[in-house]
Amino acid sequence: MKKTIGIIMVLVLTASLIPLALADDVEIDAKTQNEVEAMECQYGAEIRLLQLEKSITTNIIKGEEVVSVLEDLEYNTAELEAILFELEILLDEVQSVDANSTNATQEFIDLKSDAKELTEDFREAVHELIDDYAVEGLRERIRNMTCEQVQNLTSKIQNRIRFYNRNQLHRLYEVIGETDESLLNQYQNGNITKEQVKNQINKIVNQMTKQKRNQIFAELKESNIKEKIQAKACVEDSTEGFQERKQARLTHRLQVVQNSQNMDSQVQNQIQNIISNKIDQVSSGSGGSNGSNGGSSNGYGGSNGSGGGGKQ
Amino acid sequence: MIKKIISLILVLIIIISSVLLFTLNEADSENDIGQTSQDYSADDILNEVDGSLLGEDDEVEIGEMI
Repeated sequence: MKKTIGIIMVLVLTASLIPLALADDVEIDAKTQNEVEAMECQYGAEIRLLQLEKSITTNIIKGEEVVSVLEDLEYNTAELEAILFELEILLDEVQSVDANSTNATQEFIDLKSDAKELTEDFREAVHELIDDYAVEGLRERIRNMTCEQVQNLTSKIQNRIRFYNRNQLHRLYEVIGETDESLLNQYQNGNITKEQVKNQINKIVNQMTKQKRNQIFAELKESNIKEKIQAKACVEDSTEGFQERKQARLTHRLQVVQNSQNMDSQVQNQIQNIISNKIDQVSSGSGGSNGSNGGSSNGYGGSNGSGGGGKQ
Repeated sequence: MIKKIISLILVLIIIISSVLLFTLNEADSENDIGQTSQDYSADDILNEVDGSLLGEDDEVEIGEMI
């Protein structure tokens, strides 16, 4: 009798562990889930992709400055350059995503995860090369760095956001039953702020009856909850096959590096080794990449023989 | 003897589950009643409006390089 109960318990435990063993080790953080909510429409998807492009571009110019400073101080920067090169390939990939595509959200989640991972790799590699005091000095130096490309992206994103918000406000006015096109046009053109539009809505809502207010609240709440549910479903879908897609991206990047003509041979060899290591890790299931904190056991760092480790 | 103990455990599990389910159901229905009788202010509506709009200075955060 005892044996039977024991066997049943072991079987139940084993059965409950099977889904865990089969699942991809991927978690998407709350911030990314919020970002994905806006991607239900084409304009929202375009905004998120542009924002990702801007963040990667900013990190590349900051990274280039760090490399330049450390090169002047005669540190071995091959590893940092390799990470920057992969970030540049990643930037191309972000720029080539079609915001109209049904896979746009999935690609955004994948590429953002890669961007976080590469940024963390760079940060760790810098910390291996120099001490905290020097890191602080460098941090101050690059804190407000920008370039024309980033400024253009900022202005493009702001225009798209105003257009997106205009559409959202238009829907809201439809729910309220009043439309103020001139106010919305002024907002879209940047003549008035979002706060001013909200003040106007506040005045209209305050003049309504309680029943009408409750009805509008219920409609807005329902619409927001629907958006959240759709985003959650989308995020859950994107965790399926995450590692396979990552392996495909890494293989593509390896080909780009192999085909690259104007590249320092030391950096080229290093990045080839690094990406190959990453592919091995992902295919053996220890890639450990995730969308929540970018934490990963990746190919960067000591194992390839030419990583950081002080002055030459 | 073992059969008796197992039966006792099962009965206990059923009782505890029933009590928990009943308590949860009660709490849910109280919440529902509270929600349906609540009046919403302009601030509540504006909060929902805010939830559907994007911040003009929002950024996709991927971390700092150092």
